[in-house]
Amino acid sequence: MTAVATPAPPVGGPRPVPWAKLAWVTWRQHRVALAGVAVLLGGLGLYLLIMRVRIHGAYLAVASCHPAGSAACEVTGRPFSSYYHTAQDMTAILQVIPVLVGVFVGAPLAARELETGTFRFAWTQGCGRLRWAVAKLVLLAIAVTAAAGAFSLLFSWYYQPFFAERFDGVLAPQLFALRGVDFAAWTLAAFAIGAVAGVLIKRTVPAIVASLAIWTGLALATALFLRKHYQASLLTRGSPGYSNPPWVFGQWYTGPNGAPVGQQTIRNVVAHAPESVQNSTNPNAVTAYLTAHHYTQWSTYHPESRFWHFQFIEGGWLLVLSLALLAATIWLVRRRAA
Amino acid sequence: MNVIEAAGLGKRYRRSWALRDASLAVPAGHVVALVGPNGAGKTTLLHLAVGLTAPTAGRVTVLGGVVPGTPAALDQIAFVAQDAPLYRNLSVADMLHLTRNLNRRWDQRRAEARLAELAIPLRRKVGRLSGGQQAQLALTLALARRPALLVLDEPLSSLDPLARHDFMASVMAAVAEDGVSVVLSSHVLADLERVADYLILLSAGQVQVAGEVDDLLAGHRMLAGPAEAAGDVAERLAVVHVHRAGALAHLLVRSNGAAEPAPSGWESSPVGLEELVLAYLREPGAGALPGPSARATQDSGVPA
Amino acid sequence: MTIDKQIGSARGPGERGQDAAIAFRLDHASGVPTYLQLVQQVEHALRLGYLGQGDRLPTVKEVVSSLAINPNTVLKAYRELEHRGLAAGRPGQGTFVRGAPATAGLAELTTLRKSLLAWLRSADAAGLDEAGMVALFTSALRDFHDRRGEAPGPVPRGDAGPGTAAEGAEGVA
Repeated sequence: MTAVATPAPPVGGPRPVPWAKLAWVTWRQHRVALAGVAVLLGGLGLYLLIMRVRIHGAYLAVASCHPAGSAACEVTGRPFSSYYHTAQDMTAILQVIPVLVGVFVGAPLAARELETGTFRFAWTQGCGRLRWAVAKLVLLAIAVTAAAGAFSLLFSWYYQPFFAERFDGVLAPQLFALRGVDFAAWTLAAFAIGAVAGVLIKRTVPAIVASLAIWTGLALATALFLRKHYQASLLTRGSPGYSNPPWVFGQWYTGPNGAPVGQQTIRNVVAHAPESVQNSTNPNAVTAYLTAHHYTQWSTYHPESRFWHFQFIEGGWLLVLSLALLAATIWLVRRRAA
Repeated sequence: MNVIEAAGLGKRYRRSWALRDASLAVPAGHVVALVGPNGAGKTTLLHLAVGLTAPTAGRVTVLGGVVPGTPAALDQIAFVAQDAPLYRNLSVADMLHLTRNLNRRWDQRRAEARLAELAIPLRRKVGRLSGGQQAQLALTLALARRPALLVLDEPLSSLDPLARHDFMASVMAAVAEDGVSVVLSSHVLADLERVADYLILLSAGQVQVAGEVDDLLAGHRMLAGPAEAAGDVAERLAVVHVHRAGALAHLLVRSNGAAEPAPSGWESSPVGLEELVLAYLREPGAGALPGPSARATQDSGVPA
Repeated sequence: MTIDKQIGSARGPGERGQDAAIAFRLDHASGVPTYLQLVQQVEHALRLGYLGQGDRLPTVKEVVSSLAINPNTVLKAYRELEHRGLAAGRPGQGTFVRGAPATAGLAELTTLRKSLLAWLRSADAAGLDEAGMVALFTSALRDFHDRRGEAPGPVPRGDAGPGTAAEGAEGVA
């Protein structure tokens, strides 16, 4: 008994909801997280800015001091050295920034909706869950990556004096990941890992924990094991020069017959050296003694010039991984049942 | 046009079937009550109809052949899930804005008018509203989308009696005004008796009864008479359920309506909707489904 | 059974014209189908003079907003009133009271009332209590209708039984 009229459906099928509207939805729902990121990076950025201005004076004093290495210059350089120690602390803190930014924006995206049941509201709206997911993931990914990228530029500027004074090489593991495209790439990867973990685990806190663990494992594995294989390493006798501090990641000695010998053996040999050699102020005295006894030091290293090459390799595979994980997130959202 | 059409529809979660072999043809322009005990599969059926989940077996289409979950279906169907999920940290005005931005069609004026009528402040955070107000807000958002079909999953279960009345009054007013079709589920039939003109009874994942309420009531009668004669009646009429108390027995039978005279010695009276539903729930093997001749298709016989 | 008469009842936005002259109530426990309750309330109001010619009945939306019932039920009731000649719909304006049920004049009503009271006194003298009087009256009323050849009350499709109960209930009111 159809006594009341039913409304006519629109002619020609529904037009899709415009992306601009979904952008507002994304911002409104995630503005707390984005504000948190802004405060975090902004606060740290401000700190770096202030410190860099202060370092400038000390840096000029050191740079203009001649001859370098003299006792007088060492005294002049003390303030700069203390700033360097502060910078080391800063560097340590910044290691975790990519994962915090990425995971705390990425993991709640789907997890909170699934956890609270609001996905039953969001995914039955006219725009559909696919468009919803794409809009959110793309917009937030761009936001966190851009913010991270900008921050790492600021960091590079901040650290420039220490590179100039050869305190560190650009390939040093703790610094490599904070500069170039790497910082932004690791942030994007954290976001993508968080997003897919959120969809799979469906609960916010466990998703965050799992994402932190996975990202940390991946980051450590890359820094310790993977990165050195991006290009064939160079081999040299002794230590490579420190004019452009390279990234030395392997050093060992070989004995008279050419076979590698352990550190204990070297210590034994040095222990039998005459007093004059052991207590010599010349840093090369011990090395010369070992060489005379046919013990050769070898180093594997990557020269500094490889910095951008490595950045693009690492940034590249992180980008591919992130895109794959984001695609997987979208696919899982499509498939996810009530 | 049928708002919901299902053929052999089934949904399995891990080992057990939440819904099994469901076949439906629900016409448009009705208020459909989906009733059944907890765990009967009502929520599963509704989730299949709105595209939140996909069938394991069979198929379901909505609004005359559209696949659930596609843009055409999402555009026309507004769904309020159980406990009216909303974003608790948003204000009411923000929820309106957000829902507007997630949909193609939106009636802002109507939404604001409704909220003003209900005295729901626009600035308050959703989490600070009462249960009844949240349910009304969810309904407002759904109706402002001007859907052709409104689907409500247990909308009344967490509401106090006054809130329940106001909620149903709002839904009925929308039906009167817009002609929207409504499907709502409840495990309490009393809530839906006065509003439903089509009934679907789900029990243990299967559709037991489906049909227009008027037809169902006209097609059943309650016979009262001597218990020992119950067996004779069962041979001649389709008996759904027998209730014996001493020498007196009540039989729920399917009949052709008032025209058919009661067997001699038996008193016939009409049956109410709640009585009908309870009787079928007590007889899981019985069913009343609209077959080709719009009559009941199964016979349960008289249980010993 | 009481009638609520509302003066200046609340209007929805955009509703013009006169206020509805009657507001319905629903008795869930009476066993009378909802649509029939609405019909009976209109008839009762007409008989008692609360409703007159040209009065506007509430719109479907007004009724369902206050009673939370299916709009089709209200439409059914209004159709029944049209069928009985008591109301007529004007497109775009609503449903309005048209005529009054055939009823006796005031003098006849007074005479009938007197004879009814006399009957009640005799029944009381014979030892009948109130329930007995009601049962006797109801059964006689049914016989009367049967003899006249009418089914007790109108029998729309799908509502055979309730008609009987309705008449019985109305007799008790």
